[in-house]
Amino acid sequence: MPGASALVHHLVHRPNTPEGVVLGTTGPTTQQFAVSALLPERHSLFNDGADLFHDLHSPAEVLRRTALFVSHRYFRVPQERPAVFAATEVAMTELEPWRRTSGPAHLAMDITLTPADVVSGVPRGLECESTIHIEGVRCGTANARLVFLMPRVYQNHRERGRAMSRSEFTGPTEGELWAGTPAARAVGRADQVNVVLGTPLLTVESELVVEIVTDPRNQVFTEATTDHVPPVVLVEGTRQAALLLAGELHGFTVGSCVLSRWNARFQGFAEPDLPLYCRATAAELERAADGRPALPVALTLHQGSRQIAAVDTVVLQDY
Amino acid sequence: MQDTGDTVRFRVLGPISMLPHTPTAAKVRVLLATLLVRANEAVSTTALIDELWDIHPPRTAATTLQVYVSQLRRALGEIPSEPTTSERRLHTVPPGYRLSVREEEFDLSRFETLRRTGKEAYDRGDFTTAASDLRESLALWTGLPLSGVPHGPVLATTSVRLEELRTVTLEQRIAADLRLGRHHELTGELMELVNQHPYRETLHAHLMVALYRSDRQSDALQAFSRARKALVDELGVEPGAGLRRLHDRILRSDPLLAWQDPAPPRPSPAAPAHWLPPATADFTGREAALATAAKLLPGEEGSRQLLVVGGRAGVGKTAFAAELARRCAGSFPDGQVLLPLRGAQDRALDSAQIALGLLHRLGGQEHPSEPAELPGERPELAELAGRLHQSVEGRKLLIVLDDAASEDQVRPVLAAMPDVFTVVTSRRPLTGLDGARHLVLDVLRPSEAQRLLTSIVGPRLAEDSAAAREIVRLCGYLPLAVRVAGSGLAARPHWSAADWAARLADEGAGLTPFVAGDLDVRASLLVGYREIGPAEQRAFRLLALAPVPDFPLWAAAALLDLPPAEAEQVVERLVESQLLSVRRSTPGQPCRYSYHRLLRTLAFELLADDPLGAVEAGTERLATAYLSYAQYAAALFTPEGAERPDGGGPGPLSCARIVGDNPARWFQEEAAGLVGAVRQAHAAGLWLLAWELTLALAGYFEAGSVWDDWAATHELALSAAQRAEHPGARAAVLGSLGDLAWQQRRGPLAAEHYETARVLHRSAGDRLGEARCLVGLADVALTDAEPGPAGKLYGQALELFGSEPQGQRGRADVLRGLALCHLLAGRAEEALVGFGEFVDAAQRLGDRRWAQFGSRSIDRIQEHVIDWAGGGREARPDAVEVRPGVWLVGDPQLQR
Repeated sequence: MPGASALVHHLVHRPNTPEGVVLGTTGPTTQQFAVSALLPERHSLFNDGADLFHDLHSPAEVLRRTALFVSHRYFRVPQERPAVFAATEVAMTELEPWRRTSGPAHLAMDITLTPADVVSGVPRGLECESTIHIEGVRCGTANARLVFLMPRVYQNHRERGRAMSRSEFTGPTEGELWAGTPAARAVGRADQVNVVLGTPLLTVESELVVEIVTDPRNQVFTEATTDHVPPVVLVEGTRQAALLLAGELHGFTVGSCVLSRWNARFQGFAEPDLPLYCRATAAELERAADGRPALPVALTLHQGSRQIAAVDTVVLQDY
Repeated sequence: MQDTGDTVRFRVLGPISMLPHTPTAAKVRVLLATLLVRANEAVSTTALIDELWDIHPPRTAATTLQVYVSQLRRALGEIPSEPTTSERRLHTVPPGYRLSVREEEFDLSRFETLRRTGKEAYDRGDFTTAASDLRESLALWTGLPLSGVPHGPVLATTSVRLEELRTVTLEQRIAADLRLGRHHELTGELMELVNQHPYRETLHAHLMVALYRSDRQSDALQAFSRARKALVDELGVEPGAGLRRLHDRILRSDPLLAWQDPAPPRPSPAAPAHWLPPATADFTGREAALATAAKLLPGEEGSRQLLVVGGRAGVGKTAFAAELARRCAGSFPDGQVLLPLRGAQDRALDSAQIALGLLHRLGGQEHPSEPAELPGERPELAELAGRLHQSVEGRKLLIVLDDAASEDQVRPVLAAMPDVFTVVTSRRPLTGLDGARHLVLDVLRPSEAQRLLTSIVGPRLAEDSAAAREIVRLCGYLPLAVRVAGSGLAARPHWSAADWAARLADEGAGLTPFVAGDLDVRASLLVGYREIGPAEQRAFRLLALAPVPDFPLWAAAALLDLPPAEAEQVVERLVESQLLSVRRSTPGQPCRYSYHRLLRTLAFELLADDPLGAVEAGTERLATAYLSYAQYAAALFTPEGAERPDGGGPGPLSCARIVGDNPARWFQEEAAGLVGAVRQAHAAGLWLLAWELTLALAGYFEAGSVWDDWAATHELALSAAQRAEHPGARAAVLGSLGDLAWQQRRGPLAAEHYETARVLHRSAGDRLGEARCLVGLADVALTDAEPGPAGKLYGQALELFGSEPQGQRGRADVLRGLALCHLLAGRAEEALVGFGEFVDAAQRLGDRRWAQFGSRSIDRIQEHVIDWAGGGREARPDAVEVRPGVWLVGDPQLQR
């Protein structure tokens, strides 16, 4: 089963003006939307190994697609202006609703989209804020910030970035090299084809450095037709690195862990044909409000001499 | 009055205060007050705990007391962590604490010294010194002793003792003044005093002597009659022997009672008068209003001297006026005087009492005269007005007349002092006062209210700004309520701000949590209510049933059961009395009315005492009105046929007039009220109204995807239909719940609702209802990637809709579904044709929303038609608008 397009959902516009109701039109002002869907139960990636909890992939993907769709359809951003996600954050605010049960779980998101930097009625940016409800219980938030670039600016940005990505990786190369690709269980998956980490290296400063490599047989990672590394790979790569670090170095039982926060700031696009590295370090162990062990893991993604993104995560240990 | 406040740091002869900052927490003020009344003595911990918590101390009383002591030390400028030094005031002395204060910095010590020296002077016949010392001692008083804090056993007994001491001192000072021949200027003060203390025979005796010596023998006799009447009527006793003897002497015109002038009087300039309440340490905001008011100060001769400060109860008019007077003191060297215009039980003083009060505060007059009696006025008022005029003549004064009840109350007093700059505060607009400038205070801005709250509670509030925001919101940003809420929280250091917010939010508690010591929000708000007429009082109570956040006039007319013109008059009078607010969103649009949050709470409390059935009757009238307008709006918004609904004629309450020609806008404006009406109708057991109103809203909820209100109202409507045993209503509500579930992509639930509703319609013989359910089932199949079964279901529905006019809307909806079947199957040309037919049908129906949706769909298909030229379902767009504003995103085939 393919990936993102299998996340079938209803997106509804909640117009706040009479003309919005009757004509379906919107000005470049804040608009409310809602998304409603059943969380996937048999998704080859999202449900693989995630027996205990629904993970953050689905709301992150829904928000991404909604933001892109609305910006073009409702805010009339021309198709030729590429959208750049400057930041994305998904977080669980209540854990229990994310726990998987025997039946299907209903996901609803209330999404507020606010155009920014409006020029001639067309926004150059978009602020997205949403609340996540599962089975009617509010349990998370998902936010993002988009920038719509003019084509020439985008091209220059890509060219500069690609040049830097071609240079040699400047991160640490000394340390303890593991025996090979981690087992699927060690990164919170069951199917080895879903593992996107190469051979990890552990530095003396307890930093995990690992290449992100997708299995070409995995349709989830190959279906995206974009000219850069798909977002689902970045989310999954950082997720797996964070879980691996929590399990191997901090004694977490990965099978009963969940990523309760994923907060990314992007500096550029990752080129799909060049090596992409992830560096991960854990902070001091904390306790969540309900007393569960919570490990903050900070990750950065690198290609060549440049940093692609910085991601803050929290790995929560269920028991 | 002599100002002696420069060196006084600690005050108990009035509101408890301390310089430079009075502690804001009530408990800490209680601690301060207890230590002050036992100044320089050790007060045991046990006594302090009794004083703070009476007989119910918390388990942690000793620890909490230490916290309060620590807070007091901070307020005193002491650092608790530092070891005790000789500079400290608050000492830990077994078995408790001792507060060291010097005589000159403590008003009670100074009062007692001056009282003693005054009495000694009186006893040795030095009446001038006696009068001076006693007057100076009384000038230290700023209000009721030990006020502003709750009283435990120590403070309660001390308060009574101090009040008695004050009255005795006052009597002695008056006796000294009488000995000095000041009977003319004493009469006004004495009249006010006997009014305040009707059973103090000494004061009555002084008044009789003063009047007698002012050549007003008959008034002196009348004073005796009033004193006797008060004692007999209220206490059942005759006046004492001394008063009766004095009465006899006046009757006999005893020459020994007359004033023997030892020397001719010497005129002396009146001393500056300063009668303002103590400065509020945490006065917050209002800078713009103060600046505006300052610009209104008189600058030129003949400029208007009157400023009216309006605003609802608790908005801070008194504090504002006092602050203005304080800031502008430099422009008024002869004094600033604030006079409350209400006496006991908040009864409004009459004009004569006001004049008396002013004369008292202005320090009397040296050149009394006997003004001629004015026709139509009581002699007392005419005389007092004349004396007031003389008293203020030539003096640069700022007078604040606080909390005026009406224009009539203050007009004679204002006429008596035309050249005095006067600020009148009032809940009423007082537009009848000639030439007045008006300034209306509103509630604080949220940030100002939060600042005020923080200043009262202290820095711990900064840790939970969300709770602080919630508290000030629950207070409706009303300064009095914020002050009360802040004091309540400050007095409970063991409570979190979130706990306190939850307590304030408890609707069942009403205004009960909004009381702190002598600050009582309910009592303050009730004053305005008690001043209005019965019709307005009824309206104030009943309109609590009107929707929040605001409501139109027609809703008020329905609730009050009055014609619109009459309802408008009543409602406008409530607006004038600051009991309702009014807003007009855009010019030309009708006004909408609203309650302040706490006033609505008060109205609900009062409504509970209305006769049985009043609430239900009001609810029914309001819901009935809503129903007629909602059904009309729904008929315009989701038309069943081309024929326009009947607008109900040209009257002001006709549907055509109220709804207008923009039903979407009307629904959006009235949504909150409509939902509230459904809830109220259900709560009142008005089942028919509950489900009919809900169904009239269904189309709007569907168009706006208002999921929460959609679900909530329909659950109530379903319950109403079941209780009314009305299967047709149940089927209709279930059908709409099916629409909701379908929009939320809960396919199985939607199918279940549609199927149950279909069966109910079928057994009732409702073919159109059954057909609508089939369309719903078809929609579920369509968006579940089953275009084949969907097409069949649409076909069955079309047959049931038949060719009757009532089926016109349903037939159009089927055309939409069939066009989507083609589209999702990748048959672009057929989809184009299908949507073309749908647009034609929608236009015939008069449904612009559907017609626009059909046209948008055609445009999009045409945009993509080139992509689809190769056939193949892969080319279908990733998102398809399946109903107006509802997009199916992703490929359901892949999810199967």
